[in-house]
Amino acid sequence: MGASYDMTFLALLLCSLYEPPEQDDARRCMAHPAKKQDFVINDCLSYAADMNVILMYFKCLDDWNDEGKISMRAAAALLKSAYGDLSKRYKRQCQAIEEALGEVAALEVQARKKPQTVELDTAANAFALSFGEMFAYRQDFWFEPLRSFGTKLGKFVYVMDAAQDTEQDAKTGNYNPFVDWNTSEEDQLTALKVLAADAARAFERLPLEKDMHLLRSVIYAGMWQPYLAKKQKKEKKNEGRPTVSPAYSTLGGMQ
Amino acid sequence: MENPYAVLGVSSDASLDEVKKAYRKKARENHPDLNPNDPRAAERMNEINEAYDRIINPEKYEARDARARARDAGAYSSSASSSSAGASQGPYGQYRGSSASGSQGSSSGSSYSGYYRQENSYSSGRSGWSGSGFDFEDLFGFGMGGAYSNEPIHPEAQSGDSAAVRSAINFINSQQYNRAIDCLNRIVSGERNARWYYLSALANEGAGNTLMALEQIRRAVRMDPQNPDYTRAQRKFQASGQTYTQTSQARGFSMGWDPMSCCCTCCALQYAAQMCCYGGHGGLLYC
Repeated sequence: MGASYDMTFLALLLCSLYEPPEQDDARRCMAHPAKKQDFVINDCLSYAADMNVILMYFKCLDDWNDEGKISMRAAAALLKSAYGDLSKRYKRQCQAIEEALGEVAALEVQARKKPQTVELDTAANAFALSFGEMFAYRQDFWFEPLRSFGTKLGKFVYVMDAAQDTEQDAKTGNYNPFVDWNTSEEDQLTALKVLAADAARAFERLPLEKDMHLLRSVIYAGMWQPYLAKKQKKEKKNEGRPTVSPAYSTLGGMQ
Repeated sequence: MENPYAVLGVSSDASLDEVKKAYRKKARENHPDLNPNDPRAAERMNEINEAYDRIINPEKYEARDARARARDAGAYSSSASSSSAGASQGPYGQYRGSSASGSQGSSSGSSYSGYYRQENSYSSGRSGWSGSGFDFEDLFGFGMGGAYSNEPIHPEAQSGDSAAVRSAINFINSQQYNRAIDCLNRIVSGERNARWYYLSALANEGAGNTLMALEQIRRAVRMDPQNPDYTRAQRKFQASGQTYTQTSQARGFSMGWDPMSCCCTCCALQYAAQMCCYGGHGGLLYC
């Protein structure tokens, strides 16, 4: 659930959409205690930073639950008090995330019982809604457009993660819609492109100017980075060797 | 609103980017925060926002204005005018416009009149989390217009179609996609032929179940490769993905492998910065 990546993008997006008044300041930070660091703060950046903490909290919980990483349990405990404050301030977003995660967990149980009973989009849509809720910064004119965009982007993120983890999930039995439905790699790519197109379409509806090229570079190229990294890694590995797919079948698929 | 382009101060043949720039210029001038002593600043900002919205989402306003006119004329009916081909009612009593304006139709009851809008029950007390199609269609389905706007496919009943299939077709054509899905799912798996997969694909596409739609249309085509409707639908579903790839390239971005960005733990924005230097129009932009 690439948490920090997504919220940095949100920070940039909101600053571009709202062009809020900024406050420059300088403070010492823990990583650089010797010299005061210049920083910029504004409402949009604060919001994105808060969303980041919330996501990190859930990610740690998730990692602890899924993989029993003790370090994640400690991290989650540390974040818990921060999360407590934030969950009061951002009831809507936190509720959305909690509900989405609960739903996805339930779907995983259902899918494990019988293959292909959970439809391909259900988990992705559930996750996407929580993402959308985070992008909907506040109750104003941009609430719906931001939520719509966030939802579509969230769906892409979820499905991209699924595409990344097919081999792993096939081995561990973790829920993965592409494993459940035996989707070929070619078909996964097709799906990702359509979802990317949906997100891009929603993105282009926002009247952005500041940092537009940077924002677009994420939407049209940057957000594919995990996919490309995996593909490249695979190609290197398979150089000179016939392609072998493990438990997960590539029915009718091509690289 | 008479002429949204005039409100933004652009000509009516302005490009999307020009419209955005015009919006930004107006927003900077009229932002309530920058005009704290001006009570009309918020009002002007609303007007600017609405003008922008009208340009970006014309279908949404077509349906909304048509309904407003019909309401004023006292002859409101849920099957509205020609411009909104089949307004339908969601399960919460929200009226939705035609599929082309689907995404925002549900909030048409509340206008964007407040720049600093009060919490409204639709947005905050959402009960759509548990997968009710009402919310998904708006958020995922045939959303607002814009550059990629396309009309949904309208299937026609054929002789030999069962009652359930005919029902499903009616639901699809009136944008009640989740009811269509329910209808189709009641048909036992033994009777699920290519046509079933085709109709299910259409219903899922409309409901925002993109992955399912792609999977099902694939099956329909596999089961009946000669059927032109099925291949046409498949091409249509995939078209946006291809347009996206072309747009990406046209803008100077590349989805291809970038040798500078192989560290998986780096922030994606760093990648983005590198990518736009690498694949951009030859200029150093945001490194």
